Amino acid sequence: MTARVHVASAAAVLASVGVALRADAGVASCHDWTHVVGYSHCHRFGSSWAFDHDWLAVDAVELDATLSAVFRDVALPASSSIQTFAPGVPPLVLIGAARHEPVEGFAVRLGVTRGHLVLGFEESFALGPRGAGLTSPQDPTLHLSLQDHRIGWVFGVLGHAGRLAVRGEVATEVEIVETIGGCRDQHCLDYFARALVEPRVRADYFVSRLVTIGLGAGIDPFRAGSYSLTLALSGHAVPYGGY
Amino acid sequence: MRSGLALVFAFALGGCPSPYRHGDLPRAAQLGCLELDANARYGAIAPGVQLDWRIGNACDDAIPIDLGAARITAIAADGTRTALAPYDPRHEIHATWLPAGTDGAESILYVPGIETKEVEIALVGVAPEAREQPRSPMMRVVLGVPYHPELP
Repeated sequence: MTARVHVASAAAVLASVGVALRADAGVASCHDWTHVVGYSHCHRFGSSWAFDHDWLAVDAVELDATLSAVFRDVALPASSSIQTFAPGVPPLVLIGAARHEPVEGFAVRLGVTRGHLVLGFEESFALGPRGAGLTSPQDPTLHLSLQDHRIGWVFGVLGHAGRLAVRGEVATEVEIVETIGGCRDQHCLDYFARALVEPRVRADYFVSRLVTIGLGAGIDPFRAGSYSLTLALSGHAVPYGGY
Repeated sequence: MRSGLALVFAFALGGCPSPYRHGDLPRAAQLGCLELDANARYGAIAPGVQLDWRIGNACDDAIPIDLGAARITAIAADGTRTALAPYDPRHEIHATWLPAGTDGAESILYVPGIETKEVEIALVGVAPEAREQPRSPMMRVVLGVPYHPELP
């Protein structure tokens, strides 16, 4: 049985998942495999082309890859310091009040969709404009910028209305924030890592059967004023996401 | 960095196959969005007529399809007509959905194995469009070599 929607790049992922699910289903081997219905212990009607909302089947998984432009606001700790590597020079202290810095960058994401459930793995990089905002009272000439790196999982639910797909998601990621550049005569670098939980909404429109463009927005409920906006371009393995 | 992004896009989008489009199955019968074709031959592993179905969805929405609803009639050389039934001991054949732009194939054996020169396929019930038509859409498939159970 063949189907045009098979994607070679996803074969390894599907194979590993498929082996696990088939093992769960109690199918151990296929000694009498044929492609004729009724003559194969491993045959499953429509398994390579149909979706029938059988939640234990692997074949209805839809795969997508997304590249996004990211615009976000990064909340900084109230008393951030910058490590200096020159002997005898104390760490510089950034302006003490909690503050936010804008950053821009991109994110890549691989996702799977099963019915209305969404799971994705995402990594993003974003940079702040150099010299904008971050200063220290100890060194007025200091110009720093932020580098924001996030990596983690995204899960949520998805609904379709014609060519429009709307999803509500929660990102659970590790965020690494670095302050880079700017110090005179010595290199300044500091970073901190923290957990991030970010609820998001995103709307995607199928501009063709396999390609969507989308807009997304998210907020950080634990850091007031921190948000993210995304402009996404996605490729899908199944036309219209299987709907 | 821009060239890197271009490579990511090329990898993400270039790996996607082209979806099924109208006419990809040139001899197919059309039931609205559904296009389907069948080749008939001797049962490859048991007596009977084996239909190798090929189906495609040329539309932008998923469509329901029920191959088990097709009524298959074997026609012998002398014109004798016999209704055939799909061999489905594990009840695998069921109505399901064919996603937008996808195609697929199924091979189903129809029994009993009797002399057959030609197969008549009534597509009533296979797709919603077939149910709405006053007369069932029909397909006729001639076996390359007429089947006779007494022949080797």
